[in-house]
Amino acid sequence: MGMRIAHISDTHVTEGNAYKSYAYDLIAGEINRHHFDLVVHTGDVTNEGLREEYERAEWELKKIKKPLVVVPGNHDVRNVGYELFEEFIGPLNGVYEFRNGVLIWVDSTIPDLSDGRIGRHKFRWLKRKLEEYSEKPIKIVAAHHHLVPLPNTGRERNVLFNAGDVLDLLLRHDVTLYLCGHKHVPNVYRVENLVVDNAGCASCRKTRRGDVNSYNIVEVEGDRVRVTVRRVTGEETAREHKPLKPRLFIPGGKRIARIVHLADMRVSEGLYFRGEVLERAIRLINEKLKPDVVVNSGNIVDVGIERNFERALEFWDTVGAEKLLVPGSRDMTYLGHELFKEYFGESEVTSLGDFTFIPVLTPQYENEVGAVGRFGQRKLREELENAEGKRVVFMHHNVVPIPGSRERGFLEDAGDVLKLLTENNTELVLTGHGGNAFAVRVEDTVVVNAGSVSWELHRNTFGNSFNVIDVYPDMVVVFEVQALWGSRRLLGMWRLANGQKSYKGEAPIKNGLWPKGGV
Amino acid sequence: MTRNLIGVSPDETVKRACELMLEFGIGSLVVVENGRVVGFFTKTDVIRHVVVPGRPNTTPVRDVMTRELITVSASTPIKDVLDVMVKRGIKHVLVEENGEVVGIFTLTDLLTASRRKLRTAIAAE
Repeated sequence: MGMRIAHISDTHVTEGNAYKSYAYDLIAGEINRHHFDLVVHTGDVTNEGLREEYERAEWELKKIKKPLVVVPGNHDVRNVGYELFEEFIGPLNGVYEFRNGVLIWVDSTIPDLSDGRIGRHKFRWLKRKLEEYSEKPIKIVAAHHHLVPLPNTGRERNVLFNAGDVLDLLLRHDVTLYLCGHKHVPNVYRVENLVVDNAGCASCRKTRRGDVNSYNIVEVEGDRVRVTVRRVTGEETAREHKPLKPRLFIPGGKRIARIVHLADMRVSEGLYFRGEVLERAIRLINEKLKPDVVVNSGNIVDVGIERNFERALEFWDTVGAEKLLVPGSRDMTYLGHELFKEYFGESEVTSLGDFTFIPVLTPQYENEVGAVGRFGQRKLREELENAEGKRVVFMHHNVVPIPGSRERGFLEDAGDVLKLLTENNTELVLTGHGGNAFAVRVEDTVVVNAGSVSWELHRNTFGNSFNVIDVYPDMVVVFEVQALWGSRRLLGMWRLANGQKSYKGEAPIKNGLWPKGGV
Repeated sequence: MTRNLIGVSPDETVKRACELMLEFGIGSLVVVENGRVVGFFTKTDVIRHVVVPGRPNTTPVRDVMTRELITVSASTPIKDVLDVMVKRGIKHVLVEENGEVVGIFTLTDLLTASRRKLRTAIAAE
């Protein structure tokens, strides 16, 4: 028995210009005329959280003659609107059970801020609820704020501060669907088996890129999730996802490539740089792991001064394999923008065997926030389209939120970059920001973040680490390796999707690099 | 638990199965035939059924795998899972949902879970 949900968001009810009542009436009318088991409104019911707006919103919401769950948004909690929300609309957090599933909604707002947070009490409450309903085949979580960066929103901002932890929690509990709104852009991503469904705005004037108002139709049938974005013009676009359960891997052929991926060496004379750990890690890489290539996602030095670069180069020179690197934000401090080039050269597209490694420069001078930029995105698109074989994009800043770190939108155009990478079915994306290892598949693209290899101020319970990425003819396996002890743990494994550039198993081996034996 | 299961065909040799365990840094494999888990193969099986009896490493996995699968439900509390593991003397236990094997729980998962202070469900992947 399936479940059909009308997902609306960002109505922004007000007496002012922001609210388009005719768009709301049109959508409410459609919802009433068609079969829906449930309607979910993912927040920003009102524009400023004012009493008169809530009074009108209460009346407007009554036009929907179906079971309705309403989640608070950042606009609803302005002017202490969270108290009015409970008075006029309903509870800020709650659970709605249906035949074979459950919807848990959680307040992700922070009074008077546009950013979001599922704070420690609510996070624990959500975790408890997910454990309580773990037997339900369909598990839906709804909150206002987006979970992964969205395209066409301009700057990546007003994010959920603990998006990484929330994403990790939802994945661990096998949540089917995350419903959200906030950025006024409809979008659907599959992150592992989780469908992240962003609704556009139902009746706010502020649409993006000249788009029109819309809502999403979500159909969950068995283990399939189908999301249709329905615009008020009647135009529809649909995506269907079917999860892979159980995730059984039967490795077929021999390993075709081993990539060591590291970040945050942060070489310096400071207290937090662990030179001995870095030495051990390099020895482990050279003597035991024997990779085909070592990719460094930046922050080679802690601050961009000459003696740090000199020492970093000494370390880097001891790595025996082919080496590729991009600068991180720390490398671009002080004289770093000159010294990086002087010591490590320009990062260039490199073909190795049947792989093309594409560097993306994200750091900005003296700024922790990175950007690819519109020119950079165009260049990346061309490089992805022209690349031969499997494409590995490597950069410093993360494009998915990292567990254990406070997300602030560290790559200002992360939404557009992530879309570009996934639309092009990029096989592998390597990043190294946030001080924690994480690997996840978004659509068909495997995104891997490296923890800190030798910087004490990391966020990883496993300690300093780096990643080993083993590529097989039809699958990718990512391990995290403890930098000091060499123990490893699995971060994830994925089959390569059909749309991706296949490995030509008998392609000529260039430079004698691929494949190389040994574990 | 780990929801990613690494499998081997029952017709593969014990040598190939051991290579996989070494390569993936794991101590057990599920044995898969026609998309279904039909057996379980661990390092202990290698010692007990291959090395000690003096069988060649070309022996098919089918001949030495454990056919009787010990499983727990995905919602079983950790203490009950540990109880099963202690009483049956095993280090790996398969996790099932709706009659289908969907994951594996090992002592390594327990260590990770303790670190994460997970108290109730075996949710660590």
